[in-house]
Amino acid sequence: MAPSDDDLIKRAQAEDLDAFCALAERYARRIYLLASHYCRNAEDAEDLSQEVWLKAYQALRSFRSDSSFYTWLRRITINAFLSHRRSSFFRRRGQTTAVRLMPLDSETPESHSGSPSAENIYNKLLFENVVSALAELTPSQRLAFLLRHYEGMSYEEIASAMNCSAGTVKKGVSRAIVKLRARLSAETETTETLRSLASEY
Amino acid sequence: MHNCKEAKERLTELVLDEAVLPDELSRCDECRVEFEALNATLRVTARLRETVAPSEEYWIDYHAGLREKLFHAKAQRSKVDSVPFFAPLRLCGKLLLTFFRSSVPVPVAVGAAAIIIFGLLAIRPSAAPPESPVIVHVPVEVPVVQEKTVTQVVYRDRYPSSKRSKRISPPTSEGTLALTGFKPTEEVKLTVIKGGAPNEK
Repeated sequence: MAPSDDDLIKRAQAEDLDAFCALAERYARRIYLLASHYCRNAEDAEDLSQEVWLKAYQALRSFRSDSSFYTWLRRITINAFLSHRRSSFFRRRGQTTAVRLMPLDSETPESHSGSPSAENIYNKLLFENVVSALAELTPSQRLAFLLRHYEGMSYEEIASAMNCSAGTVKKGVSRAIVKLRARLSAETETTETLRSLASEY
Repeated sequence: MHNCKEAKERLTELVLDEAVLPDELSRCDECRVEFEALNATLRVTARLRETVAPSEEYWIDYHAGLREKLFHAKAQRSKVDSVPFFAPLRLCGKLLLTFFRSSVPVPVAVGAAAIIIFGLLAIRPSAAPPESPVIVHVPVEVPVVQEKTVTQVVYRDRYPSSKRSKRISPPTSEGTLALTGFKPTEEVKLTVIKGGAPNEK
């Protein structure tokens, strides 16, 4: 039977690194997914998500079980994202390259398996479209959309976490959806063509 | 009167809340199409979330890298913990953090007024003159050597001692006669020291 989060947290607070790594294995995918949609490239997503875990490790002693571990971790994630937005490191990579298009047959984190099946290629193209559409938003709007759509947070929760008004969050999320809808519908024809080509290949 | 432009903002909220299209909007073809398109957009992005997850091989490397970083962070922390100099600094830091993080509901106006008052008090030049030092009179006994000058007229013999015997008249009963033939000599200064031994000087 797998140990509960509380057990792992107690052990991790008592300097048990294995317990903390077990917690990381439980939640790393969710954090990485947020980071990959936020950062727009795999390397940044990996760096940023690992930075979140390092910050969580350093702050773990202050965790008081007032909220769930994931809620606490998500707060750290949002702060890390927002501070990265302000850092020159992120601007340097983020503004110059919206999307880093990988060769279709390359081994990337986005691919499910090593073989480039038609579904994988289609998903990859779709993912690049989505990420490209999100790249046109401001980092705050993008983060608001991800938290609302992927994390299911309420507007008030997002506003509190991002230190802005609920109205601003609503506007950002709405803009994100409209952008995505426009981009995906415009690309549908091209994507469908590529999909059919990929299936033939 | 239905306005599609105004309804668009509402549509995004409805889509995010996974609500059904209200009757007044479903009667409008444009709104219905838009609603379905937005729904499809969100479905696609949600599906991407599941399908673009990195492969298992990627996660093995990811967690190995993370474990290494955590190990370094732990080593760094234990190194800092072992230095006794940092212990009081850490304690002060924790206290300060607790102080600043503690949320006490204070009205904005009261808080602003308090800050202004403290600021004015801090920068106001001191108007009162500096207080003069308090003088305390304490009688102190100091041993003082008291001197007293006593002047006495002493007579000496005017003639040599050989002649003197001849001229000396026989002693009479009156003292004044006995001093004839004597001349007052120079003043002799006698110093009497009070408290001294009788034969000291």
